[in-house]
Amino acid sequence: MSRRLALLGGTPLFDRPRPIGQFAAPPLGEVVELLSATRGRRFELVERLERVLAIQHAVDYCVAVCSAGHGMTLLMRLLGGSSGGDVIMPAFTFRGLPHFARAAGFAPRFCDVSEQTHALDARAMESAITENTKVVLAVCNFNDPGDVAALEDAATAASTPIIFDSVYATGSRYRGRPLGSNGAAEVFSLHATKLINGFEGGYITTNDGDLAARLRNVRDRDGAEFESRPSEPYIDCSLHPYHAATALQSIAHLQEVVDRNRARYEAYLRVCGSLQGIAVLPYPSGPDESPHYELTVLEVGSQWPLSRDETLRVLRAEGAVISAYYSPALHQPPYYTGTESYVLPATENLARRFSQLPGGELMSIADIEAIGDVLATIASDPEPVVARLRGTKS
Amino acid sequence: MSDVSEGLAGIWERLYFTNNGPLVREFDREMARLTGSCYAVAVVNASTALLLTIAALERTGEIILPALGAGRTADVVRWLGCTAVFADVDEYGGLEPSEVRRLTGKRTIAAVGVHLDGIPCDAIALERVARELQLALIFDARSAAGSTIQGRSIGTFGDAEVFGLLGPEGEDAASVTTDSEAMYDRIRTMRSFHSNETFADVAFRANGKLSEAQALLALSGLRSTAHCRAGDDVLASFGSLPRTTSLEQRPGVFCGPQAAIVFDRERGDAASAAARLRRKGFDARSYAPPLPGFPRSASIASRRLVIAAKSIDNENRELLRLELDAFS
Repeated sequence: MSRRLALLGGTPLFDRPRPIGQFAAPPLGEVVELLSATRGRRFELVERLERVLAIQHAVDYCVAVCSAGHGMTLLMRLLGGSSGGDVIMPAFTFRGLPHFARAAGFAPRFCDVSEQTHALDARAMESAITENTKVVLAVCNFNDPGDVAALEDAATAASTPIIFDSVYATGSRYRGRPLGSNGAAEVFSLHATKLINGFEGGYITTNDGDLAARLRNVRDRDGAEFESRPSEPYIDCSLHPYHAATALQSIAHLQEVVDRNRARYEAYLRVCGSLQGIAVLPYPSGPDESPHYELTVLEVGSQWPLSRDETLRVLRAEGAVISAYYSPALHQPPYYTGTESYVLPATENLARRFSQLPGGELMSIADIEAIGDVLATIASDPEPVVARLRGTKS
Repeated sequence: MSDVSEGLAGIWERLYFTNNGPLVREFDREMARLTGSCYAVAVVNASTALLLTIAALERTGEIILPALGAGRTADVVRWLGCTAVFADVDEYGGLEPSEVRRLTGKRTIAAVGVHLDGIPCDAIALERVARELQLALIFDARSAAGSTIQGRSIGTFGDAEVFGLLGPEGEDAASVTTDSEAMYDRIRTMRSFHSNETFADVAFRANGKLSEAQALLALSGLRSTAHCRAGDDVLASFGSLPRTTSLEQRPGVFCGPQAAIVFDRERGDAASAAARLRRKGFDARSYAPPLPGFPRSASIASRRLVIAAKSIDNENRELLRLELDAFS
């Protein structure tokens, strides 16, 4: 159905913004009940959450923290030491990662990714490792965890610890196992925009008992120990009990959220399926996979009449609060202002192609169908849009 | 708890859980109003707030800290690649200004005063010394919300002050107050990655955001203690206890409602007295001994008993009096 686009003076589709975050709220009554039942024993909430998550990820240890970012920062410091150096990370990923490395006292060093998986390329990583490299921070994306074994092998050969940011890969598996046990540790999020809503929060999974003990020791230190000047670095990473209670009840309702996400994802597949030049980035498929379908990412190809950024402008005008997906890349301005001249062709190619689409509980199927109408309108009558965006006459 | 329940219902209605939400903004306004500061920035916890505040000084070198009660601050200082230089405390337990003068050298960039358990240190004299020596000055103001010195609010001293806020669940939130626009812009930029919250060029950013639940609890804590008997009044009611000296406070100091109640015992073992009081249901503790070489800090650590004000009520007040009497 053709409609008058907001960019061309039509009424915007959405009267309130449609974001990309999950924003799934567990029933408030259940959260309040859980808090009432544990009054005076709030520490039990964090312990219970850790037990549940360790089972989900099939790992021996889970350590809950106040945010995934603090978790990564603390891990890098514990594994990489206090005397600085480099942390290798992919350039095609979340813009916060270089900051986590800097906050831990390291310089980020960017590496190319695989064009197929979008994850850190093992060969590129191998050749980037120097004696100054203290940690590798790899990223498992929602669409593919990457070649985890090759990354682990390369890191092991270089005697460099590797950790995985698996924030967007909850529910994914690698070689039949749920993510969580790869590298020295993996990090997940409990932020309200993610699958499990714990207001703010994160957790670290590992099978390394010594590392888990060190993490807990740092996280749980209290005032009585402060004067003894322990040798471990310290930053308060404790998860608030209200956040733990909300996360626990979110997990209790997880399948319902995933089912709704799947319905939204399939609606996007329907509305985009018949349009030439755009496609929805697929989730991993297979009998072992249990994707969360939280994110929908649109690939904008050369057959589509608009560029990725032009498409974003059209959708934003309709009230979609979305951005380019992992773009600009981290080695490009404005994120990178250093002097190193990186050449990362796969990253640069990927960073031109993808856009987020609005999702989560604030998007209905009807909203997605309306976005489909906008995309169909662009496909069927692109000239006026092109003329408006490029300042030419149609 | 009803204000907390109502507040949670509001969060669920708005589906606004974090990312500088309406309750966080209200908490910022309340902290600025309470302290009389120009700016307040809510942060997830006091340790992260100290990290962002010291990093916002944008210098590395030596930082002078009191030998008593600055363990967490020392950890943050070291985390940032700075060197912690310890100084002895004055007779009340706060950073001794003359020690700051004595220890300041070419590499010294800052001093961090600690309002230990909400009891103000000599912030006026520290400001004078810091200005004279051109040092940055930060305060760890955990539990000091509402405390004053000569009528001036804690929160307005130095380059910035870092509060830990007591709510129903303990230290539920943190806030940095400052009158410096540059510090404000750096700290609120460093607190998140949101491009619409970029106000300054900074060395790094972190997820230091306070959630709406934490802001709700911190606001509840501020409201529930706003009309409470202040710590000073409780101290006064114990002042005549035999062989237990209630803290003779620094002249002109008023301890706010979140400050702990402290007893400086003439002799004896504060650690074992605190353990006994904990067994009786009081939230009591003592300080761990400082590093060797700081005699006044060591003396206070051995003698001072710290009791959370909220664990004392009319029902158990007489029990506390008897316990203190027996152990003095």
